[in-house]
This record gives sequence, structure tokens and C-alpha cells, in this order.
Amino acid sequence: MARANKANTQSSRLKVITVGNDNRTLTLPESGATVIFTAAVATTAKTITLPAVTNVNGAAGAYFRFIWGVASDALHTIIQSSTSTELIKGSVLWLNPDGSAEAGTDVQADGSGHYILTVNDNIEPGTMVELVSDGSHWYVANSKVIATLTPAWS
Amino acid sequence: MSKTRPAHAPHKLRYLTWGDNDLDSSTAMAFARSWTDSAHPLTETDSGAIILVKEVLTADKTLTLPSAKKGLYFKIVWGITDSAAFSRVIKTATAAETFRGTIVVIASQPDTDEGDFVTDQLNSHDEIQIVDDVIQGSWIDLVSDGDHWYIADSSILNNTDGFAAAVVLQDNS
Repeated sequence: MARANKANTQSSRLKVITVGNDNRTLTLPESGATVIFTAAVATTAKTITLPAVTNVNGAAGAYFRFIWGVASDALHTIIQSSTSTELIKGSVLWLNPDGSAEAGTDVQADGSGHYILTVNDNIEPGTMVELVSDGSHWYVANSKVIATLTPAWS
Repeated sequence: MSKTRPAHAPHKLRYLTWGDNDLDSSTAMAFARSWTDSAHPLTETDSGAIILVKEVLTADKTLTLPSAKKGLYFKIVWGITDSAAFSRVIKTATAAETFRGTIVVIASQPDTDEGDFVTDQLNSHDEIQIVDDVIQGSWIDLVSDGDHWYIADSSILNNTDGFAAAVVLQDNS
């Protein structure tokens, strides 16, 4: 006889890391986190550094999701790998909220040298970027960059 | 010859449906709890669920989120196209808990003023109304940091021509 469905007794929760007006270097044990930016950058650009993955046991499959929870009108946010040999590959979808006829634009990394993603201002809340690693590089798994200026790769 | 055996405990997503009814704590005593019951009251322990919209509305209906707690998350997915002239309302538990982020509306009939992608920000709003002509495949992904609810990702496909016709934001209702 089939067992009756039972309600959960414990809630399922995501690993959430909140980041204010600070730079942040992420660690591998923090993989899987949804990183929410809860304060706008006030003075200088905010830099988020991903953990090293090359020749690191257990690094394949590491992933992070970044969510901008507040607007950053004057300063940009940088997401970079730990070293220039660990590339960030893929494209981000850029939605310009100021356009008279808004359209989506794919902004592509070159796949050979880019390891820094600069999300330029004005960044609107709701911007998000999701990254996953194969143990050598990082890949954009999902993105919506809602900002006035074009995001940039370097 | 090798055999393909079913997984003993296949990984599955939490899942419940949102029919032509409200989903909030006020319904808790009125409906039996079941993973597939369309009248399932929404609680903290439902966090992580895919909330699948499967019925056309006959009146405005409200989903009230549980009180914000760090890491709670829900994804609302429209499994049907709903052209009835009613709204699905997603609201926080209290006016002090607000939505933050952007709802992205993709209009099937874009106009020259607003284009294909229409965005708007939420800062002080505690209620999102998704109005009629929502196309199947639309979704909203929500996550809480313990104080507020953030739009982690969204894609509202709409038959009308702009954000105002698809989404209504309310302040401290």
C-alpha cells in the first residue's frame, strides 16, 4: 500500500551570503551559495574574487549565483577568478533599462583570455549572474545584467 | 546483459500546485496538506518548492509567502497560459518585508516604446500582481536573506505589449 504523503517538518534553505559595501574573496566551501549584494557600492568598485579551482580537489562543480539586491548607480562590480589562467567563459545577457526600445544583447567573453567580468553601473536590482566551474575554468550558466552601461570582459 | 534499474530514491524537486485558490496560512485549517494538493497552504517548510500554476483563474488569488528567513526560496512556474481577466497576487507576510529586484516581462507583441524586454524595480513593494494573459513557461524565482525577498530571476511571458499590462506592484498594502 502506498504511503501517504507527509508534509515536510524541516524547511529546505539555500546557502545565502550577503555582501555589503565590501570586497569579498569567496572560498570553495562556500560553493553553492546565492550571494546577495545588499548594499550599494559607496566609494570604490566592489570586487568579488572566485575561489581557485585548478588542481583543487572537489572544485569541479563549484558554483555561485550572484544577485544584486539594491541598485548601484555610480560604481561597478567586478567578478574575477583567482588567477588569469582560470577563465570565465560564456556570455552575459545585458538588458538596458534606459533604452526607448529595450532589447537583450549577449555580451560574450573571448574564451581565451577573459577572467574578469565587470558589471558596469547603473546596476539595477534584479541583476544576476550564475557561474559554475569544471575544475579548470568558470562558465556563465545563467545571467540577466540589467544596467545602463554595457558589461565588460577583460 | 546489463539491466537498467530504477533509482532507489531518485532526486526530485519539491513540488506543489497553485490552482484557482489562495495559498496562505489562512487556508491551513481548511485544506488537507498534500504535496500535490492545489490548496496546499504555503509555509516555511515548503521552501524549495516549485509552485506550478495549473488552473485558469475565476477570480483574483493570492499567494502569501512565509515570514522571511535566510535561505528560504520558491520558484513559481506557469504550466498553462491563463488569459482570464484575473490576477495572481504574490505578497510577503508583512509590509516590512519587501520584494527587491526586477521582474523581466517578455512581451509577445512588443511596442516601440517598451520593446521586447520590460523591466521595473521593486524596492518598497510588498505585493506583485501578475495579471492576465500570462503565457505558459513564465516563472519567478524568489529567495530570502532573512529580511526581504529578492527576485533571483524571472521571465514573465505576456501577450500584451508592456510591463504595466503584465505586472502591477503594490506598496505596503
